[in-house]
Amino acid sequence: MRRGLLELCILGLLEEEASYGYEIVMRLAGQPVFAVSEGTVYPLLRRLKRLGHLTTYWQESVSGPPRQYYRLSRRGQKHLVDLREEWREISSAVDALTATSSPTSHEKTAAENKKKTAEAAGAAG
Amino acid sequence: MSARHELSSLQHASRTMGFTGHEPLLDRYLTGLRKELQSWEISPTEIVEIVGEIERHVADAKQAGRTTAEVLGGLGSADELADAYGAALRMDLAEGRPSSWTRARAFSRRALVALSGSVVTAILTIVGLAALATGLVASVAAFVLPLVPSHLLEPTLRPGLPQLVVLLAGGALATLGLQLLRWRGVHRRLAHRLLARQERASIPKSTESFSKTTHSNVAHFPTSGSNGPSSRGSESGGIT
Repeated sequence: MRRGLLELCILGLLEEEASYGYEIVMRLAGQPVFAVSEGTVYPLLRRLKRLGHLTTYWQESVSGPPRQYYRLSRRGQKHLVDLREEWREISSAVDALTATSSPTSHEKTAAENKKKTAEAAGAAG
Repeated sequence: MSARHELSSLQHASRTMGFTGHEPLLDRYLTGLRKELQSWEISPTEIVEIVGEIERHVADAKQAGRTTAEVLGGLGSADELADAYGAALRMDLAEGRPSSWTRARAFSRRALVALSGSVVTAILTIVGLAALATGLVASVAAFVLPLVPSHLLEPTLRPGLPQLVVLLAGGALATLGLQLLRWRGVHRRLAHRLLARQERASIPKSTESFSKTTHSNVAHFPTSGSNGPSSRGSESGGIT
């Protein structure tokens, strides 16, 4: 699940503005939940570019080598819309399964134990 | 990728060189990466681009105050990184999107087999037919010429060799001709089989490609499109 989210996040990041490799890596690394290795992002960027979801252009940097900026292509925008929709479906399905209103069996057992303890205490008193 | 874009990428990649300085640790890493990438079917142009982007990553990280060892540690070992790039390429192959480099290589291999096959077939056909025709003519001549009065024949056509020798030589030539024509058929079948095998080899074995990814960085890599058709039919799959 987390793996597929990375693609969504990269496309989402680049929807806001074009960015270069190191910046993208650092922004993703800033979210520990993904546990992204720096070496994971570059092959993915290259793949997204090969699939036509990203395009690149070069821009001079004031302090270092020229940077290759990635930006979302029209195809990438469509893909991002699809991924977002898919994520919403997954997210709501997970919510529906985990955020149940009825008590779980563990909660039921705990409530029964509490009741028994209270009864025992009442009988002793 | 257009030739102009490739040239631009290469120019920029080459301009990256030197920004990271000559550090033995980085040099060793990049040399290892280059070598590992070559073991995957990645084009030389793409290898230069990949090495350039890793070198730029290191340069950017160093500007941010990190050490080379730290950055390389974050990227993983050279072979893990190369495996991640290679596996990403394999995913495209598994989805039926071979790179232009792979397509060009497959095409040139098939063209070479087809061309060499045609040349050999043509040679076998010409030599075979010539040998068969000569052998038949010689055999017929061995029978006919002695029956023709010698004054009617041109001096060059007068038999100089014993009839039996000419007959045997003609028979041998005709047999050789027939054998060459038969080999032509065998060769043609072999060429077809070779082409078919190449065709099969160009179809990726998805199980093989993913067995390698599990040991690489791609264990954390989006598997878009690799887990079967997406319910949405998107370009490269979805969130799985």
